[in-house]
Amino acid sequence: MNRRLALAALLAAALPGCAGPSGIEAGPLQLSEAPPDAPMRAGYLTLINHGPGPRTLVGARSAAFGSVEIHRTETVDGVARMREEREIVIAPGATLVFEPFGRHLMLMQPHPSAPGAVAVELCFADGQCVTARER
Amino acid sequence: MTPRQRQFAAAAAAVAALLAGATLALLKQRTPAGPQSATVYNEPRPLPAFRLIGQDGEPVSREALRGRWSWLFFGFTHCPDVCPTTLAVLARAVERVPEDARPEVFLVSVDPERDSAPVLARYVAHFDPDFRALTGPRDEIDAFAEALYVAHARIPQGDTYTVDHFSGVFLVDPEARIVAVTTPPHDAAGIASDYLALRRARR
Repeated sequence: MNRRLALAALLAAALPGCAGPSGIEAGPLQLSEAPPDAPMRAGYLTLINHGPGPRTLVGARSAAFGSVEIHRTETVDGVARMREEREIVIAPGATLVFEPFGRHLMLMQPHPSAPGAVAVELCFADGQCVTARER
Repeated sequence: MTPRQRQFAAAAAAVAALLAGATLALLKQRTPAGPQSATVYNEPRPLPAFRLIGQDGEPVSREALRGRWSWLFFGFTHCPDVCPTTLAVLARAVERVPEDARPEVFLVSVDPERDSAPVLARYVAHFDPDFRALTGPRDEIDAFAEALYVAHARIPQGDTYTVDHFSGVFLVDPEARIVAVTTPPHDAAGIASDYLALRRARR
């Protein structure tokens, strides 16, 4: 890796709010207001596609949880249903929002020894991933 | 002020008045007097008799809900999104109510197999140390939920399961009767002001 690339990588790592080399900008990660040791948490964030083409989100992972899935809560007549989403296409220029009572990361099997701030990697069909971090 | 400036000022004032009127009309439409987000029952519906277990492991019956207003929410601790969000909203709603008028908050578990009393005690205390929780035998939970028309269904998810459930918040009066229900999206200010309005109407 040459020096300029190393600097870019360092900057990308230091500024979680900026678009990385993948062209996807991940906003800060917020966890649901559940107890820290709750068996399941939800993660909320926004992803912006700054790239020229559509991108397909295919999964997520985190060192702090055994398993991470993408889910969507749908509320019909007051009944909340939660279903997994396996692929989500983000059009160029579009923002994908993860929010309470909507699409969210479902964070399962918390590792009790995981350090403070949680980071989640969001991975795309082309193999690239972006990281969202808790503030 | 020149005549032209005066003309302009008058026109600007007219436009401002029009805008203000339109905004007020819109606001009035959006915030009618009375409850903003709750659906109020025409006739308060008495809670059914039940025998459940509180977060302290002690039996709880309908009598425990007499003498005080309560918010009742059905959920479960393995619920990542809807339940913690709603309980956090209820914790903020409680804070908006004067201390001497604060309602009790009950989480009724729709997942009693995983939600034992100690599990629930730890869970609800995170949101507010005064929050209470109800669990119990499956048939008692089912009967209680059915009487309130609370739909809930266990949905397999990999090697575990989640629970689809009605995520409205019930308002129960001091005679243990349901007077209103609020469906999501929940907002603390709306839930608190609806409660205070309904409480005042009862006096």
